[in-house]
Amino acid sequence: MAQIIPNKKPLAEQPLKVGQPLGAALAFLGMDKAMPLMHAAQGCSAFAKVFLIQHFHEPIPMQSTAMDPISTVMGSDENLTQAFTNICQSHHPKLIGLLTSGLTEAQGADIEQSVRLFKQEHSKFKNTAIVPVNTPDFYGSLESGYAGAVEAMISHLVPTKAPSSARRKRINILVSHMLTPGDIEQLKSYVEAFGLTPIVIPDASLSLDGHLAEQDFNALSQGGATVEQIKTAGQALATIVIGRSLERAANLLIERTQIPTEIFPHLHTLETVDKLIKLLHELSGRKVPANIERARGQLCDALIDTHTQLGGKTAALAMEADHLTAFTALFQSINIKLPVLVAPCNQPQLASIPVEQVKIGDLQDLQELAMEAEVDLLLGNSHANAIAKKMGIPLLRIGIPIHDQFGCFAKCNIGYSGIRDTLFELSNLLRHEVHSIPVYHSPLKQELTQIQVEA
Amino acid sequence: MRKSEIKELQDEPACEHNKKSKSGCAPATPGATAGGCCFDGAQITLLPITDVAHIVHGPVGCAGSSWDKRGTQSSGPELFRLGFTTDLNEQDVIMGRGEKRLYHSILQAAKKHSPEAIFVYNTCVPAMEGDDIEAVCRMAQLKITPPVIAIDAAGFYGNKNLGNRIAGELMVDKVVGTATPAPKPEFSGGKIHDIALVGEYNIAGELWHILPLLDKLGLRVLANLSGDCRFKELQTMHHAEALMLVCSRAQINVARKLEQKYQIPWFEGSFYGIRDICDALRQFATLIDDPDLTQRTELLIAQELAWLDLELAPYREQLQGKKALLYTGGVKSWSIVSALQDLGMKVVASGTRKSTEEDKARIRELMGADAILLDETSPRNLLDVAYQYKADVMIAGGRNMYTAYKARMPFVEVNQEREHAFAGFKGMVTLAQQLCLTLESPVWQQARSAVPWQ
Repeated sequence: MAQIIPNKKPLAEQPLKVGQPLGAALAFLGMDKAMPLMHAAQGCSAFAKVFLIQHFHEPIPMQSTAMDPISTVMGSDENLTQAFTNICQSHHPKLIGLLTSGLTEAQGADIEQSVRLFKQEHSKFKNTAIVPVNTPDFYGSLESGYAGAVEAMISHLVPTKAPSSARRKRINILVSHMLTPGDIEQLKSYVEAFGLTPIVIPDASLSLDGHLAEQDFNALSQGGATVEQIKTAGQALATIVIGRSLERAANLLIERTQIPTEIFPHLHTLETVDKLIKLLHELSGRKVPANIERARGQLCDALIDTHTQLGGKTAALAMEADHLTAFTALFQSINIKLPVLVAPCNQPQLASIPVEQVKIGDLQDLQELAMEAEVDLLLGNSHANAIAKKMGIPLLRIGIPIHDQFGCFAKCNIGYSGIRDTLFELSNLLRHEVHSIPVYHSPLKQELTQIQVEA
Repeated sequence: MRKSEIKELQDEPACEHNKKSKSGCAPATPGATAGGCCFDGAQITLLPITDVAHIVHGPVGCAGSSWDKRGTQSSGPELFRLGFTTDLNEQDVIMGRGEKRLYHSILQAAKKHSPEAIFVYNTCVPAMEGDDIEAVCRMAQLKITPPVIAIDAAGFYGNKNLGNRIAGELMVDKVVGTATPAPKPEFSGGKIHDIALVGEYNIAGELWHILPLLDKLGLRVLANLSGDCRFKELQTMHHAEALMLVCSRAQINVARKLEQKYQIPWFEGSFYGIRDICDALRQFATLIDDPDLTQRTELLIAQELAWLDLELAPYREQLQGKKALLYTGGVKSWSIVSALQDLGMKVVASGTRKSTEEDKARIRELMGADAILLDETSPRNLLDVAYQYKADVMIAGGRNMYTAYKARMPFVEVNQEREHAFAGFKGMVTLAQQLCLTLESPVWQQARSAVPWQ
């Protein structure tokens, strides 16, 4: 439905796009005792590491195959073997997520083959799963990198043959990058409220949720979904998928496990959360708990209470496709107009967003389009703050990176209470705007100094 | 304040309520009352004098729960927004130290904030104790230059209307007539005439929809009691050639007294709704009796109406035939009824809580013989009427907003706490926008949707 306006600028001025390797690393960081390994020159991992540290305020495990001129020209297999060996020997991870970069993809490194060879030759490290994924940063963006990593984990870890046993309480949940650790906690609490056991893949709420553990520093991710849980995904009662970027991964999982699967584009509107709760109610055969019904009523109340504050306002969005789909649905449900949507790169789902057009571009495009449309509000990552300031309008920080505020990872925008919090936050951000009309100074008004006060 | 003085204030010959048993200043009924006290009324009337330090003499309940809450706007000083209060504590009350505390409070406010004047509001506890705030003000006046004026309108004296009156009366007696206006500025359109307004509180900046119209006509507002008003301006109010009492029975005494004392002709009017705005502008021309002004007024009205017709066209289409339930307090009901009808809406019922017999007749005339008039009513009753007559939208004061919302009914707020300026021709457009905004919001369908698992 949306017309996609391609990017024709030779130069990105304020990039919105975050590369695929970073997205893939993020997915692996939602796995327990994992180490993302970038097959790249060492700068790639250093940048990515700092980037994620600033966003999550957490130590981030990240390693590099440290490509040098010789391996770049002569082939990099030896770097891979060395990196795998070093990481396995010193940290004993359960999972190494191997991601490629522009450099190694352009070089033509065959990572699948390298991983296979390493496993054959180093059986003593068989307790460490190695999942390679192709993530050149000259293609796609964070979203496709993340989705690719999830797909690769399914492809390498979920067996093709049907499992011998079933767990009738278990629900697989594939979540896209769009869900924060705070969102995932909310989602799990819904599933648990029906007596079901959620297995979230990947589960950043167990690793990047800002939790101070007993032990001190750990070189690997400190929690997350386990390799074992992915391997046994086929035993589950059903699979729930959040985010359309995971459609390919979901289809692969369906193919491997043959279990009922429901794909939700997002959980950012009353309607979609209703569908989720109804599904959980039917899967579990249990009554919907009173506190969930209560939260639904609270959301309905907030929709009404904020409708004059938010209705008729205009917003400009710059974010990944999953987020665009989600926030477009939310905003259309509360009558916020969306004259400007900017995505970092084209994705199949963009065309189906029910707006007139989506611009592929950067934050410079956001700025120009938002100024032209004279919007009331911006949504984007922290880099958009300079634009919001210039325009004198508020910014709701969504996406990655958010490095100028604390606790972004804990924020929840989904589910009844998360949507309600979002409505309140938006209303407060826009609050100063509605008050009164501009000050008018009458030219006829008495000059106070010329008024003669009688003694 | 003496009982006789209060009685005198309640006897207002210019007010229709004077004749009926349901007087606007009748005492409240215990257990069945809503609305503010005398102190509240006095403060509402005077607070928008923006360069005055308003000191509330009493325990914290009076100022603490009322300061910085009203939507009245200022184009200059923000001093009036501060919540000065003597914050009397237990020891002050027991030991009778209130007066001393007040004395030092006045000096502190004068020293720290250099106000143009200081108003001291009496409240229940010091009034009951017998603090002589007049005397304290006189004592303090010996030490400082800005006028110190005692506003003796403690809460238990009566209701909000009485407070409006006490405050207005005090201004007429003590402030108006103590300064000569600034010389008239140059005006290309003709002769400048001086006017005054009473009861336009500049809520949400409404005055700023009106002033541009008056400026185009060469009508200089000497003072507005009170909205975006300066103390010195108020001192020159007696030089007005005409005065408009804006939607406010409560301060009718001000208009009457100014007429008696300074022979200022006045009229009561409203800036809501197309017909009433035009009426108000024409009334000024009539009272001032300058043919040139009359001509300018007709020209301006013609221009504004042409503009407004264009602006309102898309909204009229959406609002055509929609049914409204109107229940307002302060803002005159017939004024809004005519405004809604101007937008093509049907008013199925209207509140008449504060309306006079004359107002009611006018509403009936506007709405037709089968009009539903609601006197003092409960939220329950209000909703029942809304259901019965299938109202699409409720238009009322803030305290009924959440009544409507709980019934999942669109709502537009029109009273003192409103956030949008509905006065003037531009205000009509805002009103139409707000009506469309709530009526067409997608939230209603969501909030009304049944829980899908039941």
